[in-house]
Amino acid sequence: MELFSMDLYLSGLQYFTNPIIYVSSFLGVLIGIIFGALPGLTATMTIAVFIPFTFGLSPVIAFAFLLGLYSGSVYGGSISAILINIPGTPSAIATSLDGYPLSQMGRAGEAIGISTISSTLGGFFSVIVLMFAAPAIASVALKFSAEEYVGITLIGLSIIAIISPGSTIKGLIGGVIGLIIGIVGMDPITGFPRFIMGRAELLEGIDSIPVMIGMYGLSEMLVQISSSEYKVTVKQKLSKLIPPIKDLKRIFGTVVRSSFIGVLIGALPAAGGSIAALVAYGQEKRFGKRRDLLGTGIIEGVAAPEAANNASTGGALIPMLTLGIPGDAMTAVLMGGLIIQGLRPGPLLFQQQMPFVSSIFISLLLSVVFMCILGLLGAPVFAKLISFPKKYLIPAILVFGLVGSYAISNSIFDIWVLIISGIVGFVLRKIGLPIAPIILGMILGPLFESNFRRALMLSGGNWATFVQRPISLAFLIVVVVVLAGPAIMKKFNKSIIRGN
Amino acid sequence: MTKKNSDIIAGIVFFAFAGLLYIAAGFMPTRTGGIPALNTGFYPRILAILLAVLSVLMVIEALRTQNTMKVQSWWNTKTAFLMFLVTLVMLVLYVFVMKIFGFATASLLFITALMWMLTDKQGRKPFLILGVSVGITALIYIIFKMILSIPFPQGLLI
Repeated sequence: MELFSMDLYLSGLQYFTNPIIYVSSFLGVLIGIIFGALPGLTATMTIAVFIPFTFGLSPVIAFAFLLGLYSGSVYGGSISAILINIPGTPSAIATSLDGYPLSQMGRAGEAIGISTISSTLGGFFSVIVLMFAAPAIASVALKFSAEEYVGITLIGLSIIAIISPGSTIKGLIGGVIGLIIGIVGMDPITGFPRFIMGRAELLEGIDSIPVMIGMYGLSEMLVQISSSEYKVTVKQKLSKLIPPIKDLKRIFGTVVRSSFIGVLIGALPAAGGSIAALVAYGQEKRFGKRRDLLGTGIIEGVAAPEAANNASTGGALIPMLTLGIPGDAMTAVLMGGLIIQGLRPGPLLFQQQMPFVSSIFISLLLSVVFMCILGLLGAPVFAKLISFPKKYLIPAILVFGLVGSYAISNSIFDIWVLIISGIVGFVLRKIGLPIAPIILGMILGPLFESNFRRALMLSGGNWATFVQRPISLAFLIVVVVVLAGPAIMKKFNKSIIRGN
Repeated sequence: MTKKNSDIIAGIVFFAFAGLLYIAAGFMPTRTGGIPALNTGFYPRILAILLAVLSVLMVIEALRTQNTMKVQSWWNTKTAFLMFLVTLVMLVLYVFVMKIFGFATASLLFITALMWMLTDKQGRKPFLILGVSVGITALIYIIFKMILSIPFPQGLLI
C-alpha cells in the first residue's frame, strides 16, 4: 500500500460534490449537539438509536451523518455540564468542574464559547492525526496473523474492564458475557447451529444493533421512567460566545497539550473520551499556569477536557478502522453501523475501500467545521432545549428504537431482541455491571473466536503458538500489565508510604 | 439489600450460568481425537470456564469488602414501579398492534399513551399531547416508510 500519498487522501473528495453529504453531516452535528446536551441521553445512545436512520443510504452519506452525531454529541455534553452542572454525556464530566462555577458567575456564554473553540481545535487536530496514523497502522496490521488479533482483542477487553466503573472483575465478567452472546449462531468452522432455539433468525448470530439500542437506549429510558424526573430550567442569557484574542492566547498551550492527550488516549483500544477528558484535566492541574485556581471557574478548566474529548474522537477511530477494535463504546456502536453497511473494519478496508476511508477523514473534518459554526451561533437555542420536557422525549426515543430495530432486517424478531436487551440492560445497571464491556465483547466475539480457533488449528492444537510469535507475546504481556498494573501500583505506593 | 449481598448473589447467578453453558456445550458434536479447537463445543466451554473463574473471584471480592452500602433502590416509588411495568407491557403490545394494524397506528398509540402517563394529572393538555404524538409519528413515517422504504407488516390501517 502506498503511504502518505496525497491521492490516498483525496480519493474520497469525489463524493463531496454531492450536496446531500453536507446536509447529512450538518443534520448529524445538529442532532448530536441537541442529544448530547440533553442530560441522560449519552453520545453512545444517540449513535445507537440513529443508526437505523442510515439504512439504505450509501456508506459515505451514512457515515457523514454518524460522524456528525459523534462529534456533535461529544461536544454537546459540555453545554449542560456548564449550564446546569449535569454532564449531558460522560465525556463532559470533567467540563462541569470549572464550567459550572463559571456559569454561576454569570459567565456561561464565555464558558460555552471556550468549549466550542477548544472542541473545534481538538477535533481538528485529531482528524490530522487520524489521517496520518491510520494508513500507517493499517499497513502494519496487514501483517498480523490470527494470534495477534487474539492478543489485540484481549487488550481491548482488559482495558475496557479496568476503566469501566466498578471493579475490574465485573468489567471482565461483562466482556466474557459479551463473548458468550457472540457464540449464538452457526459455528464458523463446523457450521453447527449453537443456541439458536429453533429460530432461523439466529443462525447468523444475534444482531448487535438492537442489543445496543436496547442496552443503551431502552434501558436508559426505563431507568428514567422508574426514577423521579428532575426538572431543570436555564434562565441565564448567554453572551460573549466568541472568545476574545487574549483568552484564546491564554488557553492555547492547554488546548495543544490536551489535544495530544486526547488523541493518544482515544487511540488506545477501549479507552475513550471520558477518560481522555479526565486525564487532560488532571494534567492541567499539575502543569497548568493557573493550576491553583482550577476548580474555581477558569477557562483553562473548560478548555482542557473539551479539547481532549473531541481530540479523542479521531483517536478512537484509529484502532476501530485499522484493526477492527473500537476505541470506546461510541466507536463500538459506529462499528456496528459500518458492519451493517457490509464493510468490515480492519487493514483490508484501507486496501480495498480507500475512497470510503478517505471520505471518513473528510466527513470528520466537515463535522468539526459544522460543530464550530453551530456551537458559536446556536448555543443560546441549545441552552433553551436543555429544559425540554422528558415526557416528550422518552416516548419518541422508545419508538425510534422499536421502529429502528425492526428496520435492520425487517424482522419482528429484532424487536424482541431489543426489548429483552433493554430489560437485561436495566438489571445490569442496577447491579452495577458495566455495559460497555458486554457490547465490546459481543462485537469482537465472532472475530475473536475464529482467530482463536484458527490459530490453534494451524498450530496443531499447540497453545504455545500464542507466545511463540513475538508480537503476539508482546500483546499478551500488555494484557497482563493492564490487568495486574493497578494492583501492583497500589502495593508499590503502600510500601513507599510505609518506607517513609 | 446491601451492595455486598447483591454482588454475592450476582456472582452465584453467573457461576450457575457458566455451569449450564459448560453442560450445554458438552451436547454439541464432538469428534474424538484430532485438535479440540475443531469441535463446536470447544470455544463455549472455554468461555464457560472463564466465566466460572471470574464469578468465583467476584464472590470472593464481595466477601472481602466490608461494603454495607445499600444498593440504590430499583424503583424510587410505587408509581415508578408501576410506570416501569406499564412501559414494558406497552412495548410488548406495540409488536402485536403493529402486526395487526400497521406500524404507524402502533407508533401513534404508543407515543400518545406513554406521554399521557408521564404527564402529571394537572398538567395534561390532551391536544398538545395528541399534536406532539402525531408530529413524531409523521416524522417516523416519512423517514422509515417514505425515504428508507422499509417494508413494514401490512396492517389493517397504516
